[in-house]
Amino acid sequence: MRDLDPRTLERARSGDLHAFEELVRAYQAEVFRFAWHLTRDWSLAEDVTQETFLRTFRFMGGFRGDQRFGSWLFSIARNCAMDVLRRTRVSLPEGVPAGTVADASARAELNAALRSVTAEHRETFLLVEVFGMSYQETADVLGVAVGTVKSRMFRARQALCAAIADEEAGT
Amino acid sequence: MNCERAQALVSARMDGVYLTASQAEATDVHVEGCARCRVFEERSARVRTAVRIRPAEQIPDLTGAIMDRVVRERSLAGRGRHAKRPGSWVARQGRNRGIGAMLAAALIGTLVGSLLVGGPWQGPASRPVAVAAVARSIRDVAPSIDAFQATYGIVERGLSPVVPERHLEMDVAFLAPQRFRLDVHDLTSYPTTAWTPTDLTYIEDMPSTYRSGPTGCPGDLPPNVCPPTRTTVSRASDVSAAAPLPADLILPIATFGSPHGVQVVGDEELDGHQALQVQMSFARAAPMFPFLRLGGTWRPFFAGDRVRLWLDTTTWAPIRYDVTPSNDPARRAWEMRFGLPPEAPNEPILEVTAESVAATPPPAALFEIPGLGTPEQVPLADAAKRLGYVPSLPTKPGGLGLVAVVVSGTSASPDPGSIVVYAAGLDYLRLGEDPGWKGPGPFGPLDESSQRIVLPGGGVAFYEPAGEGLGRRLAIHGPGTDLYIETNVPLPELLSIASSIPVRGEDFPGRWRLHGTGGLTVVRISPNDALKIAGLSAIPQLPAGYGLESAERESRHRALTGVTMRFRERDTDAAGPPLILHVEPRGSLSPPSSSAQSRVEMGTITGRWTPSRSLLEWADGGAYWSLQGDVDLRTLVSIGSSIAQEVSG
Repeated sequence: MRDLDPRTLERARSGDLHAFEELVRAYQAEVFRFAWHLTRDWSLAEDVTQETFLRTFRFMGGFRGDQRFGSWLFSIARNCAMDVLRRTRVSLPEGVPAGTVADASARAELNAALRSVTAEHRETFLLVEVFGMSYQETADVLGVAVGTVKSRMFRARQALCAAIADEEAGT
Repeated sequence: MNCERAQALVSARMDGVYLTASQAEATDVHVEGCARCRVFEERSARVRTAVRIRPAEQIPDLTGAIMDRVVRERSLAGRGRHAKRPGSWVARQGRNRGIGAMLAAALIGTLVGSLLVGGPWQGPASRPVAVAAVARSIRDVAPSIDAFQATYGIVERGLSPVVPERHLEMDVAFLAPQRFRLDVHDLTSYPTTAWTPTDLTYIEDMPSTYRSGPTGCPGDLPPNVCPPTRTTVSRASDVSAAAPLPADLILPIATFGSPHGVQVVGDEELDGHQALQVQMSFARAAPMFPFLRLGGTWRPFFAGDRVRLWLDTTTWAPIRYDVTPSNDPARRAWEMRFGLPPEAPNEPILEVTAESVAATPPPAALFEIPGLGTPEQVPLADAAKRLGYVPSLPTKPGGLGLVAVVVSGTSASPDPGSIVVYAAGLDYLRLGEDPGWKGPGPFGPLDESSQRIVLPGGGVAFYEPAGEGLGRRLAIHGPGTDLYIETNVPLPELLSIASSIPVRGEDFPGRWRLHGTGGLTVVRISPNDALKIAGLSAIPQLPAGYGLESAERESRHRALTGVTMRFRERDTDAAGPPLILHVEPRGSLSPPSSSAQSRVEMGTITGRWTPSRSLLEWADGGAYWSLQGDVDLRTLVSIGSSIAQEVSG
């Protein structure tokens, strides 16, 4: 995830709407993809994306800069997605949505593997592997310690490797 | 190390977590010998590939809908909230100090001392310029600089997501003979107090040095990752063999020690001055970045990153240089290892700009080392009495003048018994001597695999090019005494000076050339013998400037187990590590040790490439071959293919 020019961020924080629009254009695709991963529903992902930026605008003044802006934005997006899922009484879906991996067999293999991973490990895995976040950024988004991210990634990989081994043995 | 621990470290390393050298080595050793862990690494890499390689997705543009809601929200909330200024989490002050005007004023007659340079660069722009000619001009200027004092601005980008840009100021001073000072002042406003500013001081008053600065650690890492950040003050020995760190900021002598690896881009006007732009790799330009080696926290740089350097064509002083990311595909894996985002090749990640140069010499008091008494210097006439031997001195020290004779501390000290310092302007030569040296390797900071050279006047010496903070080095093992020379003068001049020392160098004693452990014996052999054992009639096709430096034969219980040859850029001050060719009498590769290994076509045969170790391996002609070095894969494949061609032909 790329960083916005700090001057644009600073202007957006002081209420400059042009700068905020630039911020929306810079981050909306990533936020939408993240929302889509969490909801697996196009319409819900759109709602989550809009709500994320509205909350971001409301709370921009509270962003202290002790974490990367992208991480802060994703933590808002995650909260919005959880709220939407709670409202619609849908649990965090399993697997990787269609279109995120190159070929169908790899996707099927990965989906099968991801079913064996707990929700919290899967969420960590998505942030690190799909969104390329660092452990610190992932920890910021999830509100957990970096060590927790590290151990979740390790456990997620162990579970995925075991699941792939089962798949291979079954075929 | 057990599998659980090894896999946890493999997982963390995949995500860019830094492992200590011992952790990394222990992990690699375990994984190489453990099928279960290799499978874990391979499957984890497969999952990563499956997740990250994806087709472009159709993402809806929601900007209009979002901004409509934002504008409505704002009009409902009133204007009060938005009048509030946010906190100063990144109080970056742009430093606009009118650099152009300052340079214009500063670089006209700014370098104190005589800097008259002849050559074609006084003429109009756009004339083709040969790098070798630039190097010669720089060498011509070096002895004539007596004093220098300047201030530079440094902008660094990409240290951390929370500190995306830093501004620092650097003061550099020089006063003959051989006094240097470098101060870095960190002007960055950090988001939290966990960050320690990179404020550094380095003083060299030949032959003593002083360093002060914090140990490096980014403030956004968890506290258990780095040792506690603290300011340390250290004092090198009285007979430091390190090359003067800031010398290339004044004049890029070491950087232009050889023309290899430097490209001239062209002449251009920069801030009202005629400047010559050259470019080279970051590894090649290492002497231009002495401040990175002094401590504090700095972002990492990829060896192949591009350095652009603008030299004033009147003074040859660097007036500006920057680093931009390399577009080498291998850089992406490197970025991931350091947890960096993909960095655009056209965006400078480090910029250094001369902002002002003083018109007067710096005061001598600037070079006083805090808390250090003056190292004991004795008149040459008294040296023999103090040392118990007559120091061996060159009868023809070139254009260099005797600066000091220093007697080291106690007899138990590992330092040489005496060190004699010669200098002229920025040129220097230090000659250490120890008549009591017993080995088992060369005296002075030289490697046992250094290159054997026959001196012009007879006798042999062992040579190593500049690198790792040391200048060019020469060791002489004579009857009853051992000498080492460390200098920044060109190799022919060094050899000429060494020839005038009345000590006839001999080969190292046989016991120094032979090492044994656990039945394995390694003995240094001549390059010709090594080529013969490997079945090669000549030195393989190497990059320009490389030569065969040394060779070793390995045997176990007297049976040949391998031969190793080292090739190195012979005359480059900024020479990197050597290229190492290894041959073993076995006809196959060992099993794969990493999922990151890949197959490489090398003409008629197929090799195996391990990027993490820059290692190319292949089996050919009943032998196992490996080639390792800090050059790109294409170069390694080209050398390997030429070897394979000869072996098969």
